[in-house]
Amino acid sequence: MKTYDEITNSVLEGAAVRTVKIKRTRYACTATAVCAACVIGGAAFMKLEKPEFKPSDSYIETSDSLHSASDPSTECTTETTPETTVPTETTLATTTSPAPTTEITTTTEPFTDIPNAPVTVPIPVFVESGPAPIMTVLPGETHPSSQSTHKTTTTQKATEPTTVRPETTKAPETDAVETTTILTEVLPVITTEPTEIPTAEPTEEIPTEAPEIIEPDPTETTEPAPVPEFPDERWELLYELYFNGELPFTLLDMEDMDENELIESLFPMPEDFT
Amino acid sequence: MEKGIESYLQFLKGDKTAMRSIVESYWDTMLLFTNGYVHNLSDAEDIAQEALIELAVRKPKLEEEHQLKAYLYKICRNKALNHLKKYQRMVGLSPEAEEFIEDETAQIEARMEMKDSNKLLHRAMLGLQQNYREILYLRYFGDLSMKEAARIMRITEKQATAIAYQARQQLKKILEKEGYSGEDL
Repeated sequence: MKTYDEITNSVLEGAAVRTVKIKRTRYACTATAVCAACVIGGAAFMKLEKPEFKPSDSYIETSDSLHSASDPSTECTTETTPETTVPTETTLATTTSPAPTTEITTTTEPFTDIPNAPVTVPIPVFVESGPAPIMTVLPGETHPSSQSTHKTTTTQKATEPTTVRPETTKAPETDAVETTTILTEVLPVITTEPTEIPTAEPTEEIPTEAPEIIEPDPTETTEPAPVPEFPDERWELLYELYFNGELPFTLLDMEDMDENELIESLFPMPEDFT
Repeated sequence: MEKGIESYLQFLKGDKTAMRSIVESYWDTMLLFTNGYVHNLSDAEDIAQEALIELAVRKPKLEEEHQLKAYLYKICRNKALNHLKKYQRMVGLSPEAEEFIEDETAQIEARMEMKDSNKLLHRAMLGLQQNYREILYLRYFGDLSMKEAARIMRITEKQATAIAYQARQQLKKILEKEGYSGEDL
């Protein structure tokens, strides 16, 4: 038969062991619950991740359904064609001469988005060319407007979407460039050949071309009328006409015109000239 | 306040030596009570010890002596019934084993300073059926009220009263059969 002390010790030891067991069981349950929650959560997360949603898929489905609703006989495979972007380039070429500045600006309008465009659309090229700034400057005077650059815009449609890159040494073959040298002394010299524009400086051309002008001889009346000495008032008038857009000819016509014709068309000779 | 509940309150405060007073107060009655179910003192000791361990681990809030008694008896009863369920097969004890158990029971009764009349009554109760023995033991050896005994047995108080009356009639027949009259008890 057990004594009370033995029973007491057995009870206390048993209680200690039981307490440890209960704690271990609680920890194990907690750990198991946490692990189970992690596994369940992970599985749920993986299930959620599996179907990869593609916006294009839904778009195709929607568009297909729409097309099939409208025209069931037609098979519709709607694919969004990639947007073709025409490479655009804006080139600003400036040729500067000392006295009269000739500015050639080629601007290509940017066409960024061309929807459904496997077809290449020609892009118009706008060529801004400087007109012939005609002005009369008295010797020793400096006209304030001679320092500025005057522009008129002529539009030309290019057949190809290319960028016009005018070289500085050569003028472009198109007639978009008009260069006018401002004569500082006597006679106006209009240079119609575009090749001479960048290469020859106007100050150097003046003496070479000036002798070609035949000075009128007031004594000889039978001969055709010589080119009169252009008075300053007329130059000013021409200048005003030019800027008012009232010129009777275009700049392109000026190439085919003789100098005398040009001057005569502009300024008919007064009757009392002879 | 009686000694058992006072020791228990000290034990709750951390005094582990108070457990010895609890064992000293309730061990023998618990052992005999449990032995009435399992009819095996060794198993009864294990069950009673388990009941005390349960008390030390769970540390229920008990304020009265009868609450502590009822708690211990209830644990012993439940564990004994579980033990009986677990070991349904009754193993016949050898004569030596029966003799050993009788000696052990006598020692417990002597340690309980049980009166001769109570010893006679306790031995006669072993021949009663289980619910009769339970109610009589809880009422007369456990000093519990009919209400507490009914709560332990999970029956109503009226049922407990009726069972106690029938248990006394049955016990009387057993004692009369063994040659004892009501005057001896």
